[in-house]
Amino acid sequence: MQNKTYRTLLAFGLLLLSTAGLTGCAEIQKVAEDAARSTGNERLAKTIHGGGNLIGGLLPIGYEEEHTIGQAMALQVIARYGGVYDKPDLTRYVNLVGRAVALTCDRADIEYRVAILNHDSINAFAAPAGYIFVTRGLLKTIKNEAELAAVLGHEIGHVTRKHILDVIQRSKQIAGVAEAGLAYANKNPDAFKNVIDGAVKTLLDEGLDQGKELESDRLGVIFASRVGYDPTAYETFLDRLRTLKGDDLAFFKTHPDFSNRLSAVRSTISEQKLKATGTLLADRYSRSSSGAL
Amino acid sequence: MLLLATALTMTDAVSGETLYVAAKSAQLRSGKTSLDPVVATLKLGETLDVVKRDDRWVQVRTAKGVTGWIYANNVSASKPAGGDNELAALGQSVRRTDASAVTASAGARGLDKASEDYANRAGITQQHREAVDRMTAYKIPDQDIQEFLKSGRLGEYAE
Repeated sequence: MQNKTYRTLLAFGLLLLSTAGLTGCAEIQKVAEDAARSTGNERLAKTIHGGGNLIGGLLPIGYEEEHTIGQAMALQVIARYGGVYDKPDLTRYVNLVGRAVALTCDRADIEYRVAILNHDSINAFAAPAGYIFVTRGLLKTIKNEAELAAVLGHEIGHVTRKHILDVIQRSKQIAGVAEAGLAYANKNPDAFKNVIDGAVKTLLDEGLDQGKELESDRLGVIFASRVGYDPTAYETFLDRLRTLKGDDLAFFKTHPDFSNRLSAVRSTISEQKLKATGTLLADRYSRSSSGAL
Repeated sequence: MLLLATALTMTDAVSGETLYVAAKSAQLRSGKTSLDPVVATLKLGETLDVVKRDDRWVQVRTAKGVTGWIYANNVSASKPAGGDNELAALGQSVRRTDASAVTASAGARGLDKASEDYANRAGITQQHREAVDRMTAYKIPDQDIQEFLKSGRLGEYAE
């Protein structure tokens, strides 16, 4: 109900803005603020009160903008990790696993593509609009296709839940880009660069918050399990990571607390009644990666 | 003859339950195994009327009146969300104050204009730009993904 009111409110504000240009913004802001307060949404009322060009900034980022953000982040991720690992057969295999998992994920209508970063560290990242990265080091640590499927499912989960976009929208750096969109980004490349650099810093250096990581862990096993992979493979994989020596600090900084993650995965398997199918496809993984890693 | 016609109608009677295709693309088959011939290829979000359920498979009728079996993990009781929900699309259209500054649609080869500007400002090398360009353009036909699932006995091809 509150969501519906919110939508109505925004649609009303947008209509006024589009018909009246940007004149009378303060009046619209007051009406919107009062309307939000009357529905009991004090938080929204305060947000509107504090907003400048309020309406555009409150709206979710559309796919076209998401794609540009994802692509720009991809440039920086690849640059920071020293380039992609140029092995066409292995890249195709990793993408086939990713597409198989994405086929029945919760956001199956967009393209997902996976690149292998030529780096020894153990990590995986997802930028908006389906730009997914796994390191060569991660692929060396993985033992079978079911583990890879769950890792890619985890990253796909970040994309389906728009975790990075959420971080961007909560950041003050978005002022301008979220309000004015790509046209603004094209005219104000410095502001756009700040947004991208901030988002990459979160993705690569600081890590997403624990809640988002746990949510993606749950989604990862659910998505992989829908295709028929054994969900317990992800438990085995997380457990293996936990026992690794701390020679990869970056990974443990961006993906903390394995006990919580393991228990989230175990409770998801149990609550969702995910079947331990025994489908690990270790041979196919070994065949596809042997000699290439 | 009359009896046969009645029997067919009864077999095809829908249950009143509606499902949606939850996979990017899904195959409707004449029987409830992956060995049965494909009678239609369905797209994400298509509405299906349930005829009956049988373990991992659901017999459905499409809006075009084609009846067949679909793998249960390829359907959902709720309509799948699109890449752009209504509100996001609305926001995008409002924010787009200067349409000429917006770049070519996603999927075209080449970086988006804002990404290109970003690459220039961030000093991204040509090699890394090409890597993102290739990544953006990377496509695998749905048929290849089906073959991949089949060879791994995954999805509807599981035994």
